[in-house]
Amino acid sequence: MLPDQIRRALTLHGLTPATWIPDASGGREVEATIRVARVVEGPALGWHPVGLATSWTEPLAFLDGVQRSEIVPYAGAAPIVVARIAAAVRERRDRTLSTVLETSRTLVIARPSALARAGEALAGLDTLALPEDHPPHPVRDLVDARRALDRARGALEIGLGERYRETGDGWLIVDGSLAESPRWAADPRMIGIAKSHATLPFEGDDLERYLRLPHGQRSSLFEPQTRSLAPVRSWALRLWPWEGRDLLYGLVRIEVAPVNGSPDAADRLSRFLLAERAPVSAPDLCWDRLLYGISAVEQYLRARLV
Amino acid sequence: MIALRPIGRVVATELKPSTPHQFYFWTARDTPVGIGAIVRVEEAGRVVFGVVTDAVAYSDMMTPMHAVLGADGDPGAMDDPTRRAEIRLFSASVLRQMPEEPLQPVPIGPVRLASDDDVRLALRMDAYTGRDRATGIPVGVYAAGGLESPVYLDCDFLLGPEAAHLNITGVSGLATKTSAVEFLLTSIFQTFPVHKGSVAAVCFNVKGPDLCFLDQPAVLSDEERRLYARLGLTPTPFTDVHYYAPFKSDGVNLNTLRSHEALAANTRPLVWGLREVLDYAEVLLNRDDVDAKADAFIDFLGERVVGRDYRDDTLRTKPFNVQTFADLEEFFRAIFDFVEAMGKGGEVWRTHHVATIRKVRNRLSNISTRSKGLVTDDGTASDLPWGGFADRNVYVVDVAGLDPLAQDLVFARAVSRLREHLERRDLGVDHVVVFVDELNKYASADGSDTYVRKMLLDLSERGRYLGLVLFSAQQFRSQVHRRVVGNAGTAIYGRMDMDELATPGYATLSPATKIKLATLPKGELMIRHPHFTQPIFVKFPRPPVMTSREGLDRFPPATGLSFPDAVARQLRTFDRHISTDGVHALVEGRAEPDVLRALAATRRERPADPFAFFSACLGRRVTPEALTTRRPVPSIRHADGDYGS
Amino acid sequence: MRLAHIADPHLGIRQYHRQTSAGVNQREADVAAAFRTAVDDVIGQRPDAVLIAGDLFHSVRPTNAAIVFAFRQFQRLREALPGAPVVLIAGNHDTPRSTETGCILRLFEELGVDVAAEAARRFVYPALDLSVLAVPHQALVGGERPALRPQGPERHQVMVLHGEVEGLLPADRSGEEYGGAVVTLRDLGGEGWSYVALGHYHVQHEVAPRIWYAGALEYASSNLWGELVDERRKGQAGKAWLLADLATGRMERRPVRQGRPVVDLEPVVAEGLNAAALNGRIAERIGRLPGGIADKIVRLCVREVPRHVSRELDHAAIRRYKAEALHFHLDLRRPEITRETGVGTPGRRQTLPDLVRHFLAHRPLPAELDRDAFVRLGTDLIDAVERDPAGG
Repeated sequence: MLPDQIRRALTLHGLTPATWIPDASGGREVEATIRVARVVEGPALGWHPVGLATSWTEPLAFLDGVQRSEIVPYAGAAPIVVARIAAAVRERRDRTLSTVLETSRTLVIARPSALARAGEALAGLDTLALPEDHPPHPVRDLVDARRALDRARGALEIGLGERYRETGDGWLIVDGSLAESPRWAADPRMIGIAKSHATLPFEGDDLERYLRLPHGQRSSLFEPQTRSLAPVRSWALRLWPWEGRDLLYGLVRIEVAPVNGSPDAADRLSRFLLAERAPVSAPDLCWDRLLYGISAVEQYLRARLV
Repeated sequence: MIALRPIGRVVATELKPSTPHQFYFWTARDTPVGIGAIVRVEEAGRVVFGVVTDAVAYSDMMTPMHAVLGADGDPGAMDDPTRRAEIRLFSASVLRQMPEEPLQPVPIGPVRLASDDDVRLALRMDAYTGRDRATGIPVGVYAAGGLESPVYLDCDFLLGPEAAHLNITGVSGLATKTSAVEFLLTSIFQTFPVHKGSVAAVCFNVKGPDLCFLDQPAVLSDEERRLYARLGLTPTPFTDVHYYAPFKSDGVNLNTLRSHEALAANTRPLVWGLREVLDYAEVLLNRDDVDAKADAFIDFLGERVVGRDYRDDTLRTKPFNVQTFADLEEFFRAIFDFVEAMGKGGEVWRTHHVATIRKVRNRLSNISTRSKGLVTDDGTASDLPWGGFADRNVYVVDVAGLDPLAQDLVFARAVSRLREHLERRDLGVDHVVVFVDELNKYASADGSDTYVRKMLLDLSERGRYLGLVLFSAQQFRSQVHRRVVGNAGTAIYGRMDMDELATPGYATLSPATKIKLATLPKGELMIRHPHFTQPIFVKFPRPPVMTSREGLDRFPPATGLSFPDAVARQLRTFDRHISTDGVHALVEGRAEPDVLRALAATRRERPADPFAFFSACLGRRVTPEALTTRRPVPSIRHADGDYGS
Repeated sequence: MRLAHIADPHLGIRQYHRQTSAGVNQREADVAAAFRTAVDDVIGQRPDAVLIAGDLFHSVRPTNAAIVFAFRQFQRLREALPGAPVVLIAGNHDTPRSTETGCILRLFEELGVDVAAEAARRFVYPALDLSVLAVPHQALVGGERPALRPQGPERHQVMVLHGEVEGLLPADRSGEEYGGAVVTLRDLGGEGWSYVALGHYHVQHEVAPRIWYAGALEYASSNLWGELVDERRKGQAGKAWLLADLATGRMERRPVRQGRPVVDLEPVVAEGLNAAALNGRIAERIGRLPGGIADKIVRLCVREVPRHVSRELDHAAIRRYKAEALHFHLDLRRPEITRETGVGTPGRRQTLPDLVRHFLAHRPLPAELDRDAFVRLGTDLIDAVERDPAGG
């Protein structure tokens, strides 16, 4: 059922229709923070040239997910959000991407009382109940709804990634952190690429050193401090020269399972990833950090989600 | 009908919507669809056939700068590890919708390549093929994506009466135009339905050896033979071809590249006398001056003077009997003498101004001197078999060696005669295809309004009612008079020049179609035909006749035959047993004009024993009897008597 | 080099019913006299050669008197001009139909006359640097024609030929009046000849420069009135032979006096006249002729004479005129048959059957019809109508 259909159904059911599409409804929202990591390569954080970009010869797949949400009606002051989330794996063979796995869900997110007021108008739809530990507040409820949606999408991606792993043992690159899933974090053929630097692994001089990483080099390996139970190895890689632009320009943070956390493996994977700079993923605003393969999955999903 | 797997899907956006006449579809990157492919869209009870007219492809790249960035500014950098998403978007013009009413935009549905049956429907060939009294003439095969379907023209629209005429455009040098006409004539001769009557062709060979070997077989590849079989045709050369060529100025060697002795049997001279020329003297005049006064004087010559006794005691007491150019010259001289004798005030003779008379005389004597091989002075003519045309016969008039004015004359007279006979229904056949190359020369868009152009216009506009059909060809269609090409019901395009394609006449063609035309391989054509709502590309096999190059290798033209040898050659076309030596002995010491006259008479009479007849025309030599001594005469004394008193 | 060119003497012709005191047909005597006069004049002019262009005799078997006469004239010529060749060819009148008949002209070979009776012959006279191609009638009609072209190194290339040059006479006259072999001007090959002496057409005529008919010596054709018309048109009076000077190209007409005048009186138009008035008009025409009509050959053409008027004419007077003249021909033409074919033959009468025959012979016919049978059927019908007693 499409949001408009749901809106019509709920309006008929006596709820107040809404047309607001919340900010950043298309992606997750992360708080800016520093969680100091532990450098595991050498005595202190350093820079390591990785060598020339090298073509990735093995089969390679990309995994990403998208989400889209809107407030459909209000049940009193409480918003009811309808969201669509989708994820896909696109595999690259002979330089050509093709979709090998995909999944999507439509979710209705609201307080249980609001869901109850909607009654049978939502029959058959997946619902996600928000906590009711405070009174309804249209804006705060939305923040809660977005968090829930992020989790749902993350879960969808993880589920799809695990399904993909069942079909073979090719390399899989995911958008974001591997630490979300213990199985991912231990997968020797997975790479997480975080292009968001809301959470930074260093502070002080180290942070400056981290952010001034030169083009074509990686940082020393480190272990991010994470609340989850899945330890990963990580390093930063500068894909494009940043000088004259921005400290974050072309900077990505790579996560791999500890088994791939040796300096050699990091160099090798970094060389592969440097080759993945092309084709550039413009028109995405983050094209300096967003790999084309990831972008292609996103494009695919957005085209399907319309 | 087996539904083929879809090869594309219609897309319609606000910027690129489907309309009743056009639609877009995308395909896989690797697709058999190309410009000219016929496709079928079927959705919800509506079937639409279209022909691909244009295509675009693009990727998701924003700007070329991103390519530079991605390659780090190095064009030699390794390929991107991931190929960008890209699209093949084709635009197609609608050929036919079923049902035709209500006419609606093309539905958004799957697109398939057209099968044989689809092609038949798409091109509306179902109306004239595969039924009783079918009128389809195979013109080639449409081929796309490994499928191949015969394409037929409707002879009612090719040879009349519904529409008629064919025009072919194409760059020179590829022999496409000539090949196409030869192939199409083959097809017409083999498939023109019996119930439509008889058909013959008159081809004007205007340059080189193009049409000189129509009766000789071609060496065809297996693929070409297969194409013939696919079209239901037999790859055999024309069996009844008659060649007509003027003489060279020597009056005995034929002015044609088809002069090899082995080909002489069906190569006849084309020779005209004063009467034949005078009837079309207008052709000679209006190249640079259209002049009613000159026309009036020519009419006077034709009606009052030539071929009859003309008495004018002011010129001379003896009546004129003008039969030949020499007689005519004598007549003119008498007029000029008379006018001169009149002195001042004598600029006019019988209301004709002397300047007009001089002009007519100059033009007429010009043609008789410049085209000596065509125009004979002795009044004998050797001409096409007016009234005796035969079904499925080709008559080739080789005017390649004539000067342009004489070409005009030959063309004008031949076509006019065809027209006259067809009007009277006594030509011998019901339809005649007239093939003329270099149409831009004969019916140019600009340039003066010549007799030949007027005649071509008339032929284009009214010929179809008579069964007189013009197959014309030219390199640049834009340079041909609009009404001539406009009246051609069927148009064929071979490989074209880009500059020509840039002229307004091709504005309706998509850029891709133009590109395809500009690079069209030999043996492929684009066809417009009244039943086809869009131009269609077809492949056709090489014609089943020897190419001119091979013909010239196999049958090198006889060059520079001596006069007696050339005479012998001519005589052998009547009787191949006539020996060169015998002819040598016979003509030795005779004046050439006498020999030529005897030859002309032999040609005209076609006697049972040509050599004897020729010999008789020349006349027996009379042995001299030298009389040196003379005996004295006896005196007779007695008188006459009164007998004579 | 001067050549005497004589043509068509027609010796032995017999016309009309009057005889001389010696019992010879008057016209036979007239033509003989003309020939003798011409021979006399030729001898007087002393040409280098003499050419007689056919039809010496009017018939294949002339009378003995005519043969003897001719023999004597040739003897005179040869005797008087011993160095001058005399070339004689046979014309259509004196050519035998079959070879067994033999040709009387051969007789004159005994006098040293060079005769071409059947085949063409080329006589070469080295002393005169002269070549004469002699082409008799038979050479043009039987089998392969000779090449009518100059040949050999002789400076003077002359041809003597008996035949009709195509186009000279209207088609409806040539066969009927002359019946000769037809040659075209092109056949004659005008270029290259020093002179072409033609015989057959009885009126002197220049066909082309250096190609001449000398004309007969007397009025001896079957249509002497047509001859008269042609002469009048050319401004000629009477008959002549030709003396050709090859060096200068000058042609001299040597007139031959005729035995008697041949007169075509001014025609009378009888429209609106009754018999009496017409009788008067006829008498007036005859009366106006100086010297009267006695011993002359006279025709009077009367047009538009209705049948009843012609029946009521003064036939006694007409008989008188006929007795007085050597020949008097009153040519009465009924209104319906006075049409002429319009090809320049005024005075030439065509009968209705002639017209019908001519028309049928030339009208376009479907190819499958047998034209001969068609023409025959038409003329049979018109003959039947003509024989109808009511038609007079």
